[in-house]
Amino acid sequence: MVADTGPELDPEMISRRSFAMGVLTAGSLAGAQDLPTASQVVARIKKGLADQGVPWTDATAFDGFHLGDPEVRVTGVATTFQPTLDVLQRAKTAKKNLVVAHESTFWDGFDPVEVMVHDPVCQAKIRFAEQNGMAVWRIHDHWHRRKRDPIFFGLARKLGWAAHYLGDVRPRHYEIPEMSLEEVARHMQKQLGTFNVVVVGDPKLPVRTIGDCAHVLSSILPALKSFDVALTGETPQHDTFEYLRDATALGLKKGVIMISHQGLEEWGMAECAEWLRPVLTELPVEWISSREPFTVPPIHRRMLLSQ
Amino acid sequence: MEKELTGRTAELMLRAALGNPMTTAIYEGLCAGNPQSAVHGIAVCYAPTVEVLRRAAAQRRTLILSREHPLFLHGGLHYAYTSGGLEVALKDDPVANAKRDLISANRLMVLRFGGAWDVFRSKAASLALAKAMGLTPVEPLPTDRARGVVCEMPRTKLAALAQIAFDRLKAAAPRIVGDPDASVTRVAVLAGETDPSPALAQLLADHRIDGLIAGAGGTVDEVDGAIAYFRDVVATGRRIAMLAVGYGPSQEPGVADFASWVAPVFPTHPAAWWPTPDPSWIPR
Repeated sequence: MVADTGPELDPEMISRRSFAMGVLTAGSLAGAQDLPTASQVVARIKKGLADQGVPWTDATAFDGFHLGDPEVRVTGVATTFQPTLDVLQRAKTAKKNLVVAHESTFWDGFDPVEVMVHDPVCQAKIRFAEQNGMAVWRIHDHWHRRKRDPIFFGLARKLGWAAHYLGDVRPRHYEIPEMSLEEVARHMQKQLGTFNVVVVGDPKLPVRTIGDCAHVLSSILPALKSFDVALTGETPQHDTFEYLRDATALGLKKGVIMISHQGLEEWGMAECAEWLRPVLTELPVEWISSREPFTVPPIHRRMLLSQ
Repeated sequence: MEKELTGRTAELMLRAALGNPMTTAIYEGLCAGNPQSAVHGIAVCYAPTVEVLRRAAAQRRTLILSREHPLFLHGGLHYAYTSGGLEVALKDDPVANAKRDLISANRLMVLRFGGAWDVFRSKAASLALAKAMGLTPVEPLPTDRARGVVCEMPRTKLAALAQIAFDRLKAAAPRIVGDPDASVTRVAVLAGETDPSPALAQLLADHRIDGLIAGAGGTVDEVDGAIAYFRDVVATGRRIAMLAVGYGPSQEPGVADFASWVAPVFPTHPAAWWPTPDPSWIPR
């Protein structure tokens, strides 16, 4: 017998056991109606966050459903950094039709679908979600609000520098054994599994402290003021690179390292999958990488890069 | 006796030559220095860096025509997010203060022309980039107002184009989005950022385009997420890949082009183009 199903289902109150029974028997007994809806799953996630000191607030413009029907029945949950069409395709193959994403669906942090709604790629994305019964729910601000921000602590673990990370102080930063700026960049390449680590500054600059930052120069400046290096995940080159060039010309011993937004933040969404498993015990949960967008092609150097 | 050329007069002459474009772009025009100061010489550059300011002071080229802003204020889409807080943050910043002092002590003036130039000749920067890459753009339709240009070529590996960018543009950190082994025959060339996404979508509407050469672009926040849009284009099954040569290296050929154009505007004060080298690098 399947308990606690039907219209009276209260996602806030339902026990994990009965919820699990509903899912386990979904295929053989009652079918899709026994599966929780995306909005019910989200209500459980919100409660899980609130239980850990992050009450839900609708003040954020970011967090919420951005694609698909919130009433779709959920067969599995995929967490990801960015719900690209490629991620949605892989989620569908993995039978995860609720995508919990950190970033935007429609190519702008502010996710203004109305700007592109007539675009064929936009339409393809919407249609793909419709045809495959998928939904995308974004959790950006609230995920950052957890006591030890999983996005930045996730990066620290990925870099193998968790023991060197002072993520609870402001500005957040790393204190590492001294190495050169070039060695720091190479370490990041190795740990992140990509050559896409773009640097401005003297390769021989001795580095002991690294501040981690967001994506605009105004948020990078405090890190540069306090530490040897600022680490950012995508930033406009016309301001950040130029500022660092000028700082160096003025004799300031500083460096900037730019990795991709994915490289900076997607490890925190892998941790989101770990966090969701005990919250949604009855549903399969999987992290799907958004994958590094940039490849660095081989260059035959007729002049040295570290010029 | 001839009347002395001031910064303000030079700005009016430049505006007249540009057909007085009704640009309302923020952080444009004379944005640093005293506009009443005398113009003794003119330098044209992508970015008015500390090195450029020092050189200008040494050579008495008191008017600097630059694509970018001396205090890193770019404007454009979402400028309140990218540049809005920056003005406040730079008020007591040591680098900004040092640049202000250099400008003031040497009676320099910086006139930012980027937006007005793009309005005047919407394809000029991209056209210059294409030519610098050794590509020949196809004739655009009369209705085409996009910034980008389209070029045809014998099938070429994108990685080979990266090598060309490295050699000819001195682009130190070219990167590829999409299949790194892709080869292309018809590419859209776009100086600067790929953003905003709607403009990129329009540029790529011709499905024969199988490559994009641009300066830079964001996946979420670098203006907007046009790179993420591009990745979705690829995921729809279209065979297309992108080469990002770096923002500065993509603009430099257009700045050189502007320097040639602007020289006759100031016949008594020959303008010199000062290239700005790419400051970035990638360990390999």
